[in-house]
Amino acid sequence: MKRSFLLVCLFLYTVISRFWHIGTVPAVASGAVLFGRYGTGFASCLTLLSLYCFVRWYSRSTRTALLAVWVFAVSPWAVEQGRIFSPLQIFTPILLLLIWTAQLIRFKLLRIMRYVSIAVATVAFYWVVWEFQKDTGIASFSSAFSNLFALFSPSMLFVSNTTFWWGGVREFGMLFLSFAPFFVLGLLDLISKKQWMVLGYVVLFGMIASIAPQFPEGRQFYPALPFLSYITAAGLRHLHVRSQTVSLILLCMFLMIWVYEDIQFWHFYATHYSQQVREATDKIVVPF
Amino acid sequence: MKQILLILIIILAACSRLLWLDRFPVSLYSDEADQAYNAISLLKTGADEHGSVFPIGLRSFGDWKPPLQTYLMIPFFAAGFPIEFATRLPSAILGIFTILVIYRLTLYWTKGNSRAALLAAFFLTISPWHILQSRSAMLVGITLFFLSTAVLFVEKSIVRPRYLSVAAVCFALSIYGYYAMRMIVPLMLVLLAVRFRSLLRQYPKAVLSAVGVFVTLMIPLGMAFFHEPDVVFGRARTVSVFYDQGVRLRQWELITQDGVDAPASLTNFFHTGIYMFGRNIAGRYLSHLDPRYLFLTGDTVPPFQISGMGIVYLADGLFLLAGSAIAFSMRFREQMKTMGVWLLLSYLPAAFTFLTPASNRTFSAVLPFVVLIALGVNRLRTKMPGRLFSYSLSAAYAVSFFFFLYQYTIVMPQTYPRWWNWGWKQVVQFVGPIAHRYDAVIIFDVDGMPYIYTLLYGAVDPETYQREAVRTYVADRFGYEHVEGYGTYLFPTDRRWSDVKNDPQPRTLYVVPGEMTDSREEALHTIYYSSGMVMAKIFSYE
Repeated sequence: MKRSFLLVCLFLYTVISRFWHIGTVPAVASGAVLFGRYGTGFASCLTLLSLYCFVRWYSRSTRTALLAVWVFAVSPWAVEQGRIFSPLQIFTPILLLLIWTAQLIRFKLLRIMRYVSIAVATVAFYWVVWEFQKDTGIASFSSAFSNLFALFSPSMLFVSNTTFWWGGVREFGMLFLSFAPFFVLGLLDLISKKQWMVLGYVVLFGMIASIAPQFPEGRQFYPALPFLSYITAAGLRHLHVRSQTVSLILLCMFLMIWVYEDIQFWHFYATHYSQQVREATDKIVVPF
Repeated sequence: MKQILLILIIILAACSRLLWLDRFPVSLYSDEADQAYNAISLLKTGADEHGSVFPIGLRSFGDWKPPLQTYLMIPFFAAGFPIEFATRLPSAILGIFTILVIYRLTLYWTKGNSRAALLAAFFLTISPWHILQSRSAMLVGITLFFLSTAVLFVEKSIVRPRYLSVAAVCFALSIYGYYAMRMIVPLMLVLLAVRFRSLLRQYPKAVLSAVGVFVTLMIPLGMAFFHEPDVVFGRARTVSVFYDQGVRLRQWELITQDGVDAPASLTNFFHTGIYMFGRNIAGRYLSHLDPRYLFLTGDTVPPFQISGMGIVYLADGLFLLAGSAIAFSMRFREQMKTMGVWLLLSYLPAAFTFLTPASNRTFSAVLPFVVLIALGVNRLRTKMPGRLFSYSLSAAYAVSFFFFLYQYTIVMPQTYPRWWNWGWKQVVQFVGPIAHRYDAVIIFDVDGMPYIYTLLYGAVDPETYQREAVRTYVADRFGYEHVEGYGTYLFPTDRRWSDVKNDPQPRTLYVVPGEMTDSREEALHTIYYSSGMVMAKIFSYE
């Protein structure tokens, strides 16, 4: 009951954060784009639910699932991309649902076919996205290598996300800075437990984004965000230490820092980011 | 067998750190030259270049260098070693000993796993980060030795509590070795005190004795601090993030964007200095974990750059991750906690400076790095077919090591000699014998503190220099204090050759850096980099 209540709260938070002033923050150029934004917002809410299902199955822990969903719901990149027209938002919940439902299939052959279908869907979607963005070719090997490292840099993850220069919130990373220690803990935890699937998907989408010729414009990396949220959630579980007092102190400190950072983000998003987009309309080629 | 392997590793370490110490790096950097001259000055006069008798901090260029390395150079200068060797040998020798220390330390941290210990020693031996710092006198090489030895003796004190005093001496010496230790060591002591609290109860006399030794050794520094605070903080003020105006300007910009109608209290709440500086510092801390910095580009500040690669090998990446995961799974072991906290503390001092990521300021992280890599290799070795893994690993590291050697011994000397201020020795060797013919020798002080090279390679008597040096002790915007001149030498910082050349002083020799001159200008002598570019031109006006 309590966990369902938390999930509902997180869902409501996602709905509000994606749809509140969706047409004005950031300012929208046309009706078609606004329509696209509603679709993206809906897909972002669906991602929340599909992420919950996936993590609950994968980690066998409802608590971890709720934590992952919370991290995703509040993450700056998810909020920012969930409020603009972003085709990858539609792909992400489909991906998570395909992965989650694959495990429900008992027959091995069908399960293999399901994973093949995931691969096909990924290739097809990115091909469409590439065509949509009118990209040609791929980056050279050395550039792709460097791009991959740039994507996985702490700067990109926690400090300054530059994957969408004129339309993104560059003052914040993909995840909140206060999540950084937990992300590291979660990463080490998953590696030590050999949970390669999650890490594999993160690397896969990192590689796709790194070969994009328009890098550092790298929104192709977005489908990795739910998995990054799961990694962070795995690390958040380590907030609980042997001493209850120490656990409580750590939790309070973390929550205070995170709450302030979240408030900072919303102020920045509503005030400075909006202004930034309004002032850069001549530089924005594709409206979002 | 293990002893033989260890001996072979030490031989490799000795070769990679001692051979051609005068040629690689290609020249003494200005900081090295300054320490060398101060060592000579202390040897001959008992005072540094500023006339301070056996100082606790070397004023140097106004950056107040910690003195330990300079004092360690004195015996080598007394023994008559050539300048470059005498300057770099302390760092090189202690760099070799550090490999023995990491071997012993890894044995303690892994509860006697000699394979992991040998691997850690090996990876430190071939580490480009450690080789670069060991072969130069940039303070951190010797400091790492004393810090790691201190921690080793603390580990040994479980069995023999009297080793605590030895550890105290080493901790104190590390504080005299490098600025960053003044932040790291106190925090490390707190950690070790918590970890070894049972020792405090069991052997109070040994603990008190160690504390007494440490405090006694810190008294000179404390007294010097009251006389001159910069002895403790050095350039910390001018390189700190709080000195850089970037954050404050951004704060002002954001407040302005909020608009005049926004309540001041709300604006101050959203754009507090604490949050903005805190975020800035956290970002700089995390920049040291950037894979591009670690594996691809390395430090971008000469002379700590290694061309074409990062500060660790690409091959280290996988094992670093694996080793970190293994250490994490053993996180409740006290030894792993010590290593983990050591790694986290290593980045703290650099996070407060605006020149990040910085490989020299975070150099103490190299030891936990190699231990983690060793743990990773040791574990993965058991997961893969034995010979395939060994051959692949050997091939990967052989290629990496030889690529590093190629960059270090061929590319960097030929393509980037300027990183190490190459050329000033050659300038002095030309100018020195003919300087007496002129009333003045004017050397434009654009880059690299040329005065120190004229002192060192010109074998200027320290007593004479202490008497004749003209300095304003006014720091430039980077916190450096320049020398106006001594004897017939002048070092203007605010003049351009383009202003001077049309009306030069008679009976004057001008030494002009290459970037100030025109290729068409004919000079008495020109010093070229190996790439063919002009390092400096020497103009004579009779």
